[in-house]
Amino acid sequence: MSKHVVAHHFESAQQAYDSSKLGLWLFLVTEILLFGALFVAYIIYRGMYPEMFHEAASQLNKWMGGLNTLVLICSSVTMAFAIDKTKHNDSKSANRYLFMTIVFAACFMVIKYFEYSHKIHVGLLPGGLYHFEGLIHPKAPIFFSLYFMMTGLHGIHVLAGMFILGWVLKRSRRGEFSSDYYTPVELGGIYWHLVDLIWIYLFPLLYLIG
Amino acid sequence: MKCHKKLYLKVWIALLVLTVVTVLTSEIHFGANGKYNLLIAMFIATVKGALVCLYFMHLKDDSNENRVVFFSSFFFLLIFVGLTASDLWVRESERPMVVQEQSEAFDVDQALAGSDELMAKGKELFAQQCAVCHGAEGKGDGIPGARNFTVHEWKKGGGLVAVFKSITTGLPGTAMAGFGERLSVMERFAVAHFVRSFNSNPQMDNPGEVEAIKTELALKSSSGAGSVEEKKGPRIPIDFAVERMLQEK
Repeated sequence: MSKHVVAHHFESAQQAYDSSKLGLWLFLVTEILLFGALFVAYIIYRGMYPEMFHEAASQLNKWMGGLNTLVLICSSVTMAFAIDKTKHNDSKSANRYLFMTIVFAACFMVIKYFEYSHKIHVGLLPGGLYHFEGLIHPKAPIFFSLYFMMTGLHGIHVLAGMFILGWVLKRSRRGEFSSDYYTPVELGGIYWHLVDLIWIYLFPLLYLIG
Repeated sequence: MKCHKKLYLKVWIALLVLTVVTVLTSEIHFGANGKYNLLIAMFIATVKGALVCLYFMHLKDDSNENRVVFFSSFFFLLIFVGLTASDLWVRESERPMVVQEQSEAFDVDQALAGSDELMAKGKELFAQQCAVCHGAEGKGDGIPGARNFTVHEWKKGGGLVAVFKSITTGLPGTAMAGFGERLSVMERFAVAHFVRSFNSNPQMDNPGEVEAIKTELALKSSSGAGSVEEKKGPRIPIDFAVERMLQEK
């Protein structure tokens, strides 16, 4: 197990940990506002075209969406375990949990792939690309623009999370983390929980209006 | 250091259960037209979110600093949502574009004859929709090129039906947009009456125009001529229908 050296510009390991965490929480604020902007657009257009939203949302598969929600919740708990085990110097178990988290994330993307490919196939596409014949409403493209933007941006975050956690796992395998130093695991975890949090709101707003 | 395994498992079960509850409650209608469903769904989502924030993200045991930082983002989001949404609430005149809107019975004879009520409605709508370009007194002093209604310089004629048509379809190639989708038929007649009142000596329609419009408006409904009823509900835009018909050939 390698001993972590606190960078010279920090007073102590505790201060390094605290400031790193604050930095991440500030980043999460920017993420909330990023997705928040899309939620605002959703709120405005849903306020203007409530029936259209109702009809368009019924084109989404709420069971696939629900399954994805369960998948992300499971990935969050395995992540929590990974951090916990790292803090208790059990990197072997932590690595297993990190791996499981990444696998769950991959499951999410696979389910997403099936959802998207079906929509592309039938013409449920954003904006001007919309050509679905089962729902002819002049404003329906707006719902699907929002759907693809919001779930797409979220999906990118899931993908990025997979890379980040993969990197954390790599470092953990090299023995870099212990009860003395586990900051990257914790921060990676907090980011991952945010991804879960955003989906917790996306799911009912997009899938469950129908 | 405490082992949090049991706590995490409890939170996990709670999240799974609440997800199932969210999906099941979406199948039931709470309140008339399910008007409380959104509130319930958002409430459950917030409970789930709080569990994730407090326990998985460790905010419960964390310093005040991080909590304040994170929750401040929701405060700013609230301002963002609130101010943007309030714009919708104060705009009475601007309506979302719908293809057809009216459901009341439409009396074409009443629309053609006009009335004090109709004139007042026209005046109100003119102030909201037209004055910005045509000026508050219809002198065309809003934007360059806008028609001056106090003199006779009509592009398509100054009779009631002619003006009604110009309002409906707009004048392609100019800044005059069509209001066919934004205003109902009765509203457009109201504006037409008001617009013609700017000139004390209004022009008349060409012979046959009145009968033609009566026939055209009657064709738009399933009931016969006389009282023309406009149905509610989304309809296929004409270009879309034409496209589809051509595809079917």
